[in-house]
Amino acid sequence: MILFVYFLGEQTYARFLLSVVYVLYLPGYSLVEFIATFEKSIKGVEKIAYSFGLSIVVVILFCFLLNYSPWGIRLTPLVIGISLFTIICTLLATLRKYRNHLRIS
Amino acid sequence: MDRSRKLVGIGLLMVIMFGVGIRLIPILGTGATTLADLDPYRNLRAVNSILDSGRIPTFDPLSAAPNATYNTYATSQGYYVLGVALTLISGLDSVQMLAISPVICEVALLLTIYVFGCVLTKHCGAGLVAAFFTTMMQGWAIDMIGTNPLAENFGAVIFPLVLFLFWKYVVHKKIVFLFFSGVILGTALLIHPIIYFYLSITLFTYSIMLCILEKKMGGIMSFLKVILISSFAILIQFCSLMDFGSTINFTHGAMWLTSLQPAHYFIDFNRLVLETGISTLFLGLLGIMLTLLLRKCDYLIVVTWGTIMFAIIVLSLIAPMRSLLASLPFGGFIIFSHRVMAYLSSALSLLSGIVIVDYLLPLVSYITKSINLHSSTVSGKTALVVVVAIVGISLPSIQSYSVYAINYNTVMHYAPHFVSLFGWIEKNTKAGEIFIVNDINLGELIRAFTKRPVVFTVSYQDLTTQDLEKRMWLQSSVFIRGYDDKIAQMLLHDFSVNYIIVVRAVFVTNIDICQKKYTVLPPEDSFSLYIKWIEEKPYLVEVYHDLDGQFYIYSVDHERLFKGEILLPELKP
Repeated sequence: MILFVYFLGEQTYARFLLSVVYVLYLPGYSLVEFIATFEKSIKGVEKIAYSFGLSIVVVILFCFLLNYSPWGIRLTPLVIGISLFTIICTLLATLRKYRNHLRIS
Repeated sequence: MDRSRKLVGIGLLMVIMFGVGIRLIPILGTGATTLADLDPYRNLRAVNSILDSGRIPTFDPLSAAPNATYNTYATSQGYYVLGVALTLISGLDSVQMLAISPVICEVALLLTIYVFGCVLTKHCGAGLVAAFFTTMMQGWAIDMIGTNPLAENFGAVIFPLVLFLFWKYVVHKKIVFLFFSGVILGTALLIHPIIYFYLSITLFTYSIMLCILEKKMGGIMSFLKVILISSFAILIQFCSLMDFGSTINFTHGAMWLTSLQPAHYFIDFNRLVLETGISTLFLGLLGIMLTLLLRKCDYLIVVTWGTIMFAIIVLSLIAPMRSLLASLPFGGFIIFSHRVMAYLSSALSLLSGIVIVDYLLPLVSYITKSINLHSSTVSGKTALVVVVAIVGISLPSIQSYSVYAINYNTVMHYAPHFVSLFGWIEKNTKAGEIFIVNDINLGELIRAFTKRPVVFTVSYQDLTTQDLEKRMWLQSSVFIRGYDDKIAQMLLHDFSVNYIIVVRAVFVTNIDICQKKYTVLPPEDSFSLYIKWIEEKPYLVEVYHDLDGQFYIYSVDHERLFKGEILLPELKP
């Protein structure tokens, strides 16, 4: 996404599609994956619905934070914030999955 | 992956493609270059303001002229920032992004309804049928979630999701579902308060129903917990409300709008049938009755959802109730019953899915078995027959929906007709000069295109004012024959109006807001008499009319206005 935003074309279909997934799916999905390592009853297609709902929550709350910060709601802080949140949640989820895997094996 | 799951996957893909395709019609028709309705324009202004300044706007200098207002951007801030996030990251123009957003939400809505249906009935077929019915919305439902970029686009997705999560918590008692439910419910308030209001009363009623039918007293506690979790959003929302009186003013304005004849802002029985479709309405009502009769408590959440939406429609139809509702802080959300259509359609779709898969299919199977047919071949054929029957029954709805989506193009083409009017205003008037226009819908476009304040429109920011009745007197006394002209002059002076615009195209549907009705369609040639009546007013000077005589602009000579005090007769909705 960062590649598209900063280096590849201003308006492309690929960037549009990626941005929709990036804003409305990935933050929630990474959070759901992380929480699913604690709560096994979150599974299957349900994750898709939760991911959309939680992405909205994450993005809106982050935008409110930016609104009251010195940076304001701008492209760079937005991309950095969403990316950081997604990466941290993904890493935590991966770590916990790995630990669970080790425990089982 | 087994064969049936593959088939369901293909079916879901087809349903999504169908839903997306039909919602693309107005966008392809207009090229997503213009947004023509009231609320989309307000949303666009908010998004553009955030893109310019990086901050959520609070004060709107263009609405409720001449004093302007804090009400315009007091709510739906969550929706604005979502639009901004998508616009910034996608690199699209804000108009294009907002225009395409209903299509994005459609995919999310269909997936959510599918998941809800599947998990609730433990049968993917129910989810698939429910998603299929969800694609075929009409009227207000499609206005709010299908074609217009409105907060309801996201609200329609969030609504079933919160109910689904709450139901999961009630069934599984896992705290994570309660937490998700509460957090998403809170976000619903930030996106659009009406979603929060409807969700809260649905969850409350569901909790009560659980207490009564299942003797689960914990239901009320669960409801209180979910409201408590969502309270973070209540704090954010109230911090951003600059004027706390706006909630009751909104209700007051809502009552006025619903009292106009012919009424557009509430749902009567005919419109309910027309917009939901006979098949969906019948199956939905059947679902409610069967669930209550057979006490299928798992489906209670959807039944409560549908019943509450119906109850709001019924309440709004009882005219004497409106004055009572208008005295309640959130009564406007009930008076404006057209708002429930976006959510009622999804509830009915889910109930239809439940009825077909959980009641109808087993019944058909039982009948075929009882007449001694081979069950293995019959089940496949039965399913096929039922699917063909559903599509067959739904064909009229699909057709009328497509027609509706195509017709919406004409609304989207509305704005370009006034390009020369907007051009003249921008070139020949100053930024702070105030307008009134006989078309209260056009007022919002003048604001959006020319950045000039207009005194009265049907947008909620103009209705949530303390002096609403005075504005209504201005609108009627200036444009409708038969009113005391001294009242018109006094109010033109009070509101510092600089220009009056008369639009020929809407002359035939002019609204006499004080009399609560649209003026009767006069014969076309009476327009010249009407213009003559306007031009005879000594304080008006014609400054422009276009070559086709479609619109006329008059400047107001304030020196010649009557400046005395006349006590305005009381108006009642």
